[in-house]
Amino acid sequence: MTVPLLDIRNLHLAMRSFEGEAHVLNGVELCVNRGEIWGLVGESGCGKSLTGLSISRLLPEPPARYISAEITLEGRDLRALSPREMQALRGKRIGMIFQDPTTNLNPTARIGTQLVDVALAAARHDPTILPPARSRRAGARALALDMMRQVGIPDPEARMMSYPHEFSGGMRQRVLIAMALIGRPDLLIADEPTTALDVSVQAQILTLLKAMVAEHDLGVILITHNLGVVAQTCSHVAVMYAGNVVERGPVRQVIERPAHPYTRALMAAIPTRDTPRGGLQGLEGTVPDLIQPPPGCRFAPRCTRATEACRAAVPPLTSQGPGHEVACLHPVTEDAPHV
Amino acid sequence: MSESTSDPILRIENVTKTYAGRSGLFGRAAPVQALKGVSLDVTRGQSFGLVGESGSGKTTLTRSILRLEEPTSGRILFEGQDMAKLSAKALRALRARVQIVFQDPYASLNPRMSVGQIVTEPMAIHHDLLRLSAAQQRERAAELLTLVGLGPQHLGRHPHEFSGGQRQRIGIARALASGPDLLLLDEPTSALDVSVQAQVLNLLIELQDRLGLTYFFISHDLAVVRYLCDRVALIHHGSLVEEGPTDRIFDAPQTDYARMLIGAAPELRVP
Repeated sequence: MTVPLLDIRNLHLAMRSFEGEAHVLNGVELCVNRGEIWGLVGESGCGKSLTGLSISRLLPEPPARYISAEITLEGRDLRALSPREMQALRGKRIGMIFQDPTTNLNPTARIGTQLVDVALAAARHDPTILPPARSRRAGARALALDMMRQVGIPDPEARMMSYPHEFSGGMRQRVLIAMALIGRPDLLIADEPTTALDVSVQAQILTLLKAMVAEHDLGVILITHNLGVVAQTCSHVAVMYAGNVVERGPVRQVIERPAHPYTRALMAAIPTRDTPRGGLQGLEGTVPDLIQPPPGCRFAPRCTRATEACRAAVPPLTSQGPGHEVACLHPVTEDAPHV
Repeated sequence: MSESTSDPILRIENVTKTYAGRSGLFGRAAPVQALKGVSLDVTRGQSFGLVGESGSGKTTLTRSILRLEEPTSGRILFEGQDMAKLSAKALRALRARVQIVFQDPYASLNPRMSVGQIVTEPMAIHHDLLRLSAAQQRERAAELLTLVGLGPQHLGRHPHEFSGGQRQRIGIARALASGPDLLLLDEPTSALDVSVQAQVLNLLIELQDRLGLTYFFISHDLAVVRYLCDRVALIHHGSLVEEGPTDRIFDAPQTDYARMLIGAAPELRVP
């Protein structure tokens, strides 16, 4: 069996707050191979972003405290690395894209300068990424231009001289994708990369992301709250609720035969072309208090199928079909009503 | 209701809005045409959806309806009255009948005011019209909160004690406080999670059925517009590209722009 690109096991994370310690990640398990795009979905506060930040170790400790965590990148234990080694890894092996393309660019530096800087920093760890040129800087410039072309920025020579404010939101997000991919990462973590963008631009960015995965054989974690985006873009999906992965598997299985009542509820809340007026189903209740989480399945208090057994212990992920796993004692087996 | 139902409650006639270009160190930039002759009718009791991407002019149009912005040319008629020709007093009276629910429920509620103060404020502002005593205002605030799915027990609480969905319910209660006929809904669910969005959308439908409200719903989410609206207008670069009954627009779009927009919305279906 080959070693997966990214393997997360037993990820338990607590966050200190004024009211006490909140148990925000409760045994997250996720495994990503090259060429796979994993959609990480769930409502606000379910731990999607914290999972992403835990991989690249960007959470300050304290307030974060890892109760347990096994995170390996091609078999290498990320938790055991020194901060310096981790920093090298972040620039080179793990690329990240965040939601807001405006705040992640330096407003006072030209786009070209920012891309060349990233290329030079990445080349310190792996000089082979630079094309042959007179100098390192000339090589970095050539690489930056090439990346801008690849992410579909027209007239890259001229746009290198522009400042971020001269770019539209979609173009800025392309710059950030170029930046994240410039060091040829193996793993790309994209946290809501299209949420701030118009749908037409969103479609372009997601198409670009898919093309980049095919071309560079990356593994991607796409954090989003939009199941439509997942259905259109991802090869796999992991649904999170209150710090747990409650269902995971190939996107078709999960979208067409969602087995966890929470996944079902999430999908019933999205209007489709056939939803009659007033026919949308909201999800009653609220996300549980994570300082004193309910015992057992954290979704049980809102679940219509819950029994006493659900409140006794957290249900483990069990197989529901090839590669399709669900953490539920009473999984739904009928086909989803919308497909 | 005095008018017949076929009369539009809101008529927008050939409205243009031009912003003068910014003048800087190197002279003046070209003027920006935010709206280029927009005309549309909103029928009483219906939900009218205005869809556009960022920079399309939908906010300028909304602000013009509220008279927070003066159109460069064209007219905006509310129940047949030209809003530009109203006296200050008549405009104030009209404002009680046209209310808005904002996009961001975290930014649109004053954190220092209690929910009771937030919901009674429009009643105090329009006191000359509503003539409610302080006790009656409080009673009505409690009724409104119950109507939106909260309750009298929330009157003394402050916005920070509520979730996003509950805050948007408070925003809706405030908008209903002055007894409006027309509600402008400016992306009221785009800051909410889907499960909460579904609750708020269903609440809007329930309120419309119960109170006979007219909605002018601004959004970039086509699925939500399709769910809620009877008619849709697509706006692009300040011009209406297409307008018509919701089913017709979605099933048989006539323009390339409409086809592109509908095609780009990610559907919950694995390709």
